Amino acid sequence: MLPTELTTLQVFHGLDEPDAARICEGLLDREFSPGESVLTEGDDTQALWLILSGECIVSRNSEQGERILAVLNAGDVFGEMSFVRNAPHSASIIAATPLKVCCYKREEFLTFAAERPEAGYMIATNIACVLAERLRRMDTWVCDMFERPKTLDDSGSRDEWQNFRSAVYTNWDF
Amino acid sequence: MSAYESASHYFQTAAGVMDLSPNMQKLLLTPEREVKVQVAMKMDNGDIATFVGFRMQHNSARGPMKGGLRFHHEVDADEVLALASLMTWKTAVVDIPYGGAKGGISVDPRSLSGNELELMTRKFVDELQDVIGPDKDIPAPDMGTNAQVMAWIVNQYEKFHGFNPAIVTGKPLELHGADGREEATGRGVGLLTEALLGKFDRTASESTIAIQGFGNVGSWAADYLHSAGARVVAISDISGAFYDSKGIHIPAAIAYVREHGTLKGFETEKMITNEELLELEVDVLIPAALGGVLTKENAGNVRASYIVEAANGPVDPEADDILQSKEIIVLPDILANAGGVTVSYFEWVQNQQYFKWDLDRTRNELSKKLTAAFDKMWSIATEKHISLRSAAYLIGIGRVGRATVLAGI
Repeated sequence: MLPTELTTLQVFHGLDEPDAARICEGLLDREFSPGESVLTEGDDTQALWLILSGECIVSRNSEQGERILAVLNAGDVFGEMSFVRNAPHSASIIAATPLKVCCYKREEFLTFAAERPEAGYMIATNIACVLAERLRRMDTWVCDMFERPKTLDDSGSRDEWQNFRSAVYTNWDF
Repeated sequence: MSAYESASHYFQTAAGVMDLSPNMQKLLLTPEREVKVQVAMKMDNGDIATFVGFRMQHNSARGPMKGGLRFHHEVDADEVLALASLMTWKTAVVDIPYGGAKGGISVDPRSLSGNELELMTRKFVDELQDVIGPDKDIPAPDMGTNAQVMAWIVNQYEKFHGFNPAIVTGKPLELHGADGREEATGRGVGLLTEALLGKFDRTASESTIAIQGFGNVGSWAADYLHSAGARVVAISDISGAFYDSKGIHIPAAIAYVREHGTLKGFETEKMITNEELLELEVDVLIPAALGGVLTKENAGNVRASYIVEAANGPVDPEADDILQSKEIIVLPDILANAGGVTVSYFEWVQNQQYFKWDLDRTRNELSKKLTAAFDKMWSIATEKHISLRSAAYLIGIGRVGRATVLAGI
């Protein structure tokens, strides 16, 4: 990846060219074919992943089975949660199309940030922005979940209760 | 068809009309608690006897559970459960603040001495006293139990919980019973028969009536209708059926039973069989004895215009279809014999208030409750073009459903 390409990504936005070039040297290129697993929920690889081309699926196991959380494209990043905090991955990533990614290891970043604190601070702020954006989306989801039972076309688990309510109220005068 | 199968059939028909999902039907049909206890005791002759007792607590969405206790050798879990669910719909139809329960002991009470019956009752209360109570579950007399048994139950329960007359209803008058409780079921049958005839611009005084069964319910219903001017042309008990085309003098028959314990030897125009009574050409037929007396075998021969189900489940579902196709109107048991539980409620109210009503007030309130329930059933049946039975079940299920929805699960 070229340093100019790198700085178009949100996480590395605002870096000067020498810093960007230095980071590019530390990136590992990887390729995956459709259906292949990139990261597995619960795994413990501390790295930031950048999508160069292709599409991948973010999914998570729940009691109801596999639930798809998002679809990511070229320019998107993933793995940032376990990158900033030493913890297992919260979701799985599977390649949906031929996928080219590159991987930036946490140790690389720590070494870089120790030498170039200003640039390191910039990257950390950018990652915080990505996380803040995701949290905002999560808030909207949670609000939707609470709002949903109020509508009759809800297809969730409260459907049956709503139907029962209308069966005993709407059509009859007891 | 068993009581359980009939009850499920009628429930499902109504639930189908209401379009309730299978899961919601399951929620409404599954009992809240099933209690099965050992009742062990020493008999008079020194033998040890062990009986099995039940209390099926079906639903408490609308209030404390209510239902009879029966001592009968055919008592089994399935039947008691079916009867418990019927109590849930019945208390909802007459709109009294109760749920439904039923219980009993599998025993032939005639095989017990008085002492044994008392001891068994008290042992049963020892086992149940934790799960019953004036605000939990209130038993009442049923087959094989009476006011005396209720008095023992109160006394035994009070040993654990102190003064508590509202723990059972159907008590003796001397022990906080209610005036008018004994006549209540039969009187309710009479009142509702008049209300039904009224919808067809008829009165009791121009109607002929046949009543199967001359126990508590049948005799009080006969007495009420006779007083209202109806011609009761046939009555019956285990000794046979008694027919008189000019009408039987009911007070004389009641006096005769009081003296002899049975109708056997009572003089009327002629004797017929219990089966023939069901097929008489009368305006109103009132089966007030056993369940399952009208089946697919004899329903086609019924010549009455109206049937009032004073007994529990006298018409089985197959017979019900035949009667409907013959346009015979059936007033369903869950309303027809609800006078008893309604006055039980009045007894409980008086016990809770430490204030005794006079007979006029009880009769008045009973009439108001039953008339309101009848009118509601009638309006839903005519508006939705369904049978009175389906309408009554709909009201019962609907009211329990609303309470469930409001309270949540």
